[in-house]
Amino acid sequence: MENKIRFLESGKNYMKKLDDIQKLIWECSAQVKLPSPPNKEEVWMRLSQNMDITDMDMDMKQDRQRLTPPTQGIWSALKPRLNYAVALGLAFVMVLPFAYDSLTTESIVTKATDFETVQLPDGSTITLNAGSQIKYKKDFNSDHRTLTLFGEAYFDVKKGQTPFIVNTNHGQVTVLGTAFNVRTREDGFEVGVKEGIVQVANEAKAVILNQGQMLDVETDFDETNLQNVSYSNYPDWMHKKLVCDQTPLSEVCGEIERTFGISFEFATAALAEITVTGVIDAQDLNTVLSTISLLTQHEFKFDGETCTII
Amino acid sequence: MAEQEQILLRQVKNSDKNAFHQLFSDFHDTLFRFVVYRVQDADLAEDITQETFLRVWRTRDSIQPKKSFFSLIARISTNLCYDHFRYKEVRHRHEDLIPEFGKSHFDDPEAVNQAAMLQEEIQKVVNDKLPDKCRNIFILSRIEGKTNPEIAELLDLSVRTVENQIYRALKVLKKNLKNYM
Repeated sequence: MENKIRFLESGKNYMKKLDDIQKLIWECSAQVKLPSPPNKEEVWMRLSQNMDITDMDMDMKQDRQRLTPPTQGIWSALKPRLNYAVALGLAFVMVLPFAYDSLTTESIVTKATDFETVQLPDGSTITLNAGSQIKYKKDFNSDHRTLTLFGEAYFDVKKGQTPFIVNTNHGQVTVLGTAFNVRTREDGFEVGVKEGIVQVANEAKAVILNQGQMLDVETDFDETNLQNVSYSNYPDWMHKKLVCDQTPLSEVCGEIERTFGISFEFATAALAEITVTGVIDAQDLNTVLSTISLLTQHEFKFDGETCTII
Repeated sequence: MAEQEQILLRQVKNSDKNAFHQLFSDFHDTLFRFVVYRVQDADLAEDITQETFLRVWRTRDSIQPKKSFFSLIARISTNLCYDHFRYKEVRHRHEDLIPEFGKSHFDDPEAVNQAAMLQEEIQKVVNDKLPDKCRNIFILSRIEGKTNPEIAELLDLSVRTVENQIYRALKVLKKNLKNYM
């Protein structure tokens, strides 16, 4: 057509219907050099971990939605119409930063049955108990030391000028340098201090915990609820032990479920209410189950997945 | 092939992680090349590719198994690319980078590797001037080397549509590269 240029091999007459320039573009466009894709299986491993986190987050959101009380008054009269607008607006606001967020957030998850020790960029170490998750921004330690915890973890915090902050669903734990344990469960929150001083706060109240003290409450952050850590190897799970002091059986079993990846059933509802006192060696499942049986004076049946207490 | 894809998509909808792994293995490399062609940065492309699959998983409830999986991930990844450009505010800077054709290095007598240069220009036009659908088809055809019937099946379009879109892409390219020739 216009300028008939061909610098690729002439004489190739295929694609007659295209003119020369188009032919040139056609041939040339396939010659691009692209970086080769990363190893698929490695990518899958990371992706698969992120999928688990996503699922955990979604479960948690659903739980929270169930707990949210219905809104009332004028708002509920307006709500039907505003619903869509609000949903749209929210979706827009939430989706935009997400792409960026996911590129800047580091997260570590443990499945049921294993726990993991990680070193943070500031030199602090965190040991995550089974079925737990921490999340922090990749710029951790630049001007903040803030992270989010779901589940339970033991923190050994390097001393530093920047406060080390652990956000949880129940409240915020702030320290400068110390060793402490945080446990968050659906219906409970426990912080215990092994070394140093820790501040625990929610919207309503802030409490200071000294060495050897612990707070085991849901929301009622108050000095009067402080207790002393009653045993030396705190926290118990770090030493593969389960320390129970008048602990309801349902709670003990919840910890065993997380640690060994099994589930419990109670033949009668009353069994869940029995309280247990003693130290259970959590090295292997058989020992744990027989100790439970001994402490509760009840038999159990175990089929490899589910343990039924009768 | 397409039938198998439907089955896998239905399993993914039911939270079947193995089925998702299968789809991931089938489409990862193609999607990666697809994205890296656009963003010109291997690390970023890797992140976007991963985020795309993650989004599919997160929204698996709303998957429509009868619709083409590649169309879905192409759309999500394209949106993520736009988000990225928007975020970095390089989107218009990016457009400024397109040289004024005819004036650029073409006049340079030292410019030996004309093919490589033309290739670069093509890539810019494809990324900045082609509509999404047209670009997707063009990249699948030229970069992935897929045949028109293969593309038609992958995107759940008619072969005729694919042919038309490729013809259209070439027309746009020709128009934009005219002075360069």
